Amino acid sequence: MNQMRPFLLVFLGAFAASMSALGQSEETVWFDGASRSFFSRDALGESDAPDTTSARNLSEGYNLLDLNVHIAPAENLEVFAQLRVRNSFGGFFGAGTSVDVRQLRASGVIKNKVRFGVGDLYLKQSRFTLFNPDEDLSQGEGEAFRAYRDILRYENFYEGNRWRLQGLQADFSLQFDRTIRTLEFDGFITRPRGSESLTNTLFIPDMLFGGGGVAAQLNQKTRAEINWVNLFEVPASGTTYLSLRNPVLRGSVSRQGEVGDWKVDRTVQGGYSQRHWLYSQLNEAGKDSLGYTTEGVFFEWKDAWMRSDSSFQFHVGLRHVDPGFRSGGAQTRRLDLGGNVPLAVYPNYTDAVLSRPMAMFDLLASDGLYNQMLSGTLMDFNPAFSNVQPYGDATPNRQGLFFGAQGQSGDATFEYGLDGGVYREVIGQGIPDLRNFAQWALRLTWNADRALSWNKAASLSVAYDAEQTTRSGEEVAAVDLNRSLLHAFANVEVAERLFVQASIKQLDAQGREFLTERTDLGEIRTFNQVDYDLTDHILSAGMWYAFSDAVYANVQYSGWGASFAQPGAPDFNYRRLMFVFSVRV
Amino acid sequence: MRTVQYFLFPLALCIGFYACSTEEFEGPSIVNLLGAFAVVDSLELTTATPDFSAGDQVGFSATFNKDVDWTLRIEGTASGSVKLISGYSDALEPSAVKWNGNTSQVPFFTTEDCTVELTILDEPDTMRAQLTVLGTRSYEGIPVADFEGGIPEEALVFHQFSQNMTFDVAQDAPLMGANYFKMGGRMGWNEWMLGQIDLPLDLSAVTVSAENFYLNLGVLSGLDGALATDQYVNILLSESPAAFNDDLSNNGADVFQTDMEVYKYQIRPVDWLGWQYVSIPYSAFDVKSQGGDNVRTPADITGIRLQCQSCPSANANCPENADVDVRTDIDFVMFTENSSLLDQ
Repeated sequence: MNQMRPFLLVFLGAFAASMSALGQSEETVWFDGASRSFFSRDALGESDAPDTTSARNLSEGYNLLDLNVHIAPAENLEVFAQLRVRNSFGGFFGAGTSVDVRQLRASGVIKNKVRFGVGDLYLKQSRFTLFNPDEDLSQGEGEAFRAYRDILRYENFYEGNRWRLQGLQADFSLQFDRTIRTLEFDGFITRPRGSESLTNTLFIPDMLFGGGGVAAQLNQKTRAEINWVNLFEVPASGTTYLSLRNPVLRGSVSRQGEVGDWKVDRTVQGGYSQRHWLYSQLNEAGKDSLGYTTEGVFFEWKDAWMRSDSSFQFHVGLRHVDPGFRSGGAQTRRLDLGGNVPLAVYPNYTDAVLSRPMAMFDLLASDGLYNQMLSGTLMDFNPAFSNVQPYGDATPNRQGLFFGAQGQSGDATFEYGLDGGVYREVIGQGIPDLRNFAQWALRLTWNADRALSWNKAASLSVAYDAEQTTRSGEEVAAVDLNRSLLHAFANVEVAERLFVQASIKQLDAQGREFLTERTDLGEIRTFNQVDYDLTDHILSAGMWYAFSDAVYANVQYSGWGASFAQPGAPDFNYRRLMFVFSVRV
Repeated sequence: MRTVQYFLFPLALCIGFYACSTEEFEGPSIVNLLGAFAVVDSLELTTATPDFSAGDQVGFSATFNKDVDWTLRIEGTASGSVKLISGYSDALEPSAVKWNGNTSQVPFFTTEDCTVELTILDEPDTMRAQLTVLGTRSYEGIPVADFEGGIPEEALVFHQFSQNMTFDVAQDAPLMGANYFKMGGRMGWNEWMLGQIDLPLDLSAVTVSAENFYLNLGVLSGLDGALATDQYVNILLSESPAAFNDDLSNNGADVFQTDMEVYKYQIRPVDWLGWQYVSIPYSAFDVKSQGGDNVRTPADITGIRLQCQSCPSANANCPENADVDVRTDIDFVMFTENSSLLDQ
């Protein structure tokens, strides 16, 4: 009954508001939301080491309903609440049933000039100040694992490349008739983390994240922006006497133009960051000192060219990010490899009850592995998954050239895309010799329905993503890591809105790298050599019925696993049958 | 569009940033962490015949291919005294790694042959050398008692009259020189204190603070292989200006009475076999009785009491002590300024 209490309170509030709305015609209440039914059955596959300690198969599932209540108590004002009712399969007499308030937000426009939001906000600024980079190994995947991706992104509040933050946000713009066309202002203050207890007497302080920006449309073609953000902790709200300060300043100028049949968008941006830790003795306010200060700059130039008929576009650019550039809002990773959350499917294996290494399928099936909170220090990453830009474009200690292109044939039978870059470290890690990085990703889609003039949709897409990391010089510190990711996906509409799908995804990683181990203050403590020789795969086939783009049912059968060349790491294989019915309105 | 400008500007900035990166690399050296160890230059000594009484020093040199944890061990073949020097570096520089004849572990070095070993943590390599001490080091300090001339004339010695009491000078196992003061015995009744020696002091010339003023003494115990339970040396330092021994009817000096400014430290327990040399900063002494300003002032010290105490066997306190003699013998008692004696 206690679990029901918040639901009832909010529901009664919403009900009262709706009743009030009925009496005042200008006020309205409306509902939307999402629901999902999910069922999975996992089974042991073939393995080169016996596993009699794990169940041969497992099943689980749930139903959930996210009810969005929108209340407009006045013109240009909206109050929004998202209530979740979730029921695990097998729950009996309320066991396994939970009711949560998942999101709350009030938003509106003051005097038709200032737009504001309070509560749960989805914020994004620039790739170097506030940005939520995509999760590892998700590029080029298309719709193959959309059901899994939809779940993990929805459950972790990933809306595009925005971070879900709780606080206050406001923006407004001014228009001018000379010199400057428009000036747009925005600002926000949020609290990514409240004070948390480490022991009975030790509390880490509140973490706040604030920022603002000004964008000026100088003329029809030229735009300038200045952004500032600061991720910081409030020492008085904790007892650890240690608090973070991470301000980042960014400026950019972009200009659009035309060269022949091409539209050109040229952007230059740069910025500066500092991160330091404040040691404050609460009993002696004012006697603060700075320690472990890191500072750095970044710079990026990018030219994007697009044909006037949009049939082909490419971009090329240069980027430099200092080793000391730290931006918690942009360098926080989605995938949390801190090991705090166990794998959702068969976390242990073999009769020796070994901890199963994280596989590519876990990144799809374990939404709990993902992070929702900004981090003041660089998070761990797995070089076999992502080693060239593990922290997105803001990855520190990188400089180099990047490029990309995409287009299609004249009849749209073929669509293609290419992204890549070659980078080098600015300074070495553990040795003066520098790592060199190369990355390229090719995507190719053959629209068979167009080529063969079918009246139902059919396509075959292939994506290949390769990363190479090398470091020469001292043999003991040499690095040579190659990672490739191949993905193929076939999608055929066999009846109206009913699709048969099949996909294969394979990851290969071979070579040697060094994992960086950092202290709580972000300083490098040591390096651990790791040797990779693994193959990871997912094979899946299934059916998809699209009631609409946002409403679908999917049945998918997958075989997945990994094999390791190193002794002492047994291979593993598993199978999964998954059903999902998803509705978002 | 002035395309050239757009190309040149970022290129210049990148070159500028690259040139501005002054740090050699981030984090600890991988070569140090993982590289194979090798000796570049083996162990060498600046002299193999030092005369420490004349101020000689021995410098040590060696070079490795990476930073390592190294330990230099010098051991006297006759005395068994040991001097340890350790560090973390890729080289031993004779100007920095040097030995002036002192010891890390008593007894003290004598004029004798010594073995020198340089070992590296987690590496099998050991580099060896030999030297001969032609003259021993003289320690600087304010002597309290070395018992070479017997019990000092001004000292007051008191002990209980129970079994095997040995509060006298002995010669069988001195720490330094030929004599030491033997404090021990066996208590037959319920009494912790076995005996003591009181010595008057005049430290008025001392100017250092209590944190930089050290009492150093050697303590010997368990030569027979047996240790009494909870035996210890109780040390009192008095800053009382009263006469040292005005009342001759007392068993000890008057300056340690309960209404006087007295500070206490206990070397407790004395649970080792053989000699150990102990150094205590005056600031580590506790207030025993509040008779003055309660500020530890080395120049005001007027007397020292070195007391042998032990848990009595009587009344079932420590019945195992009924068959064991207490031994807390002392030698080479000396005050030093600014550093302990063994750190000189």
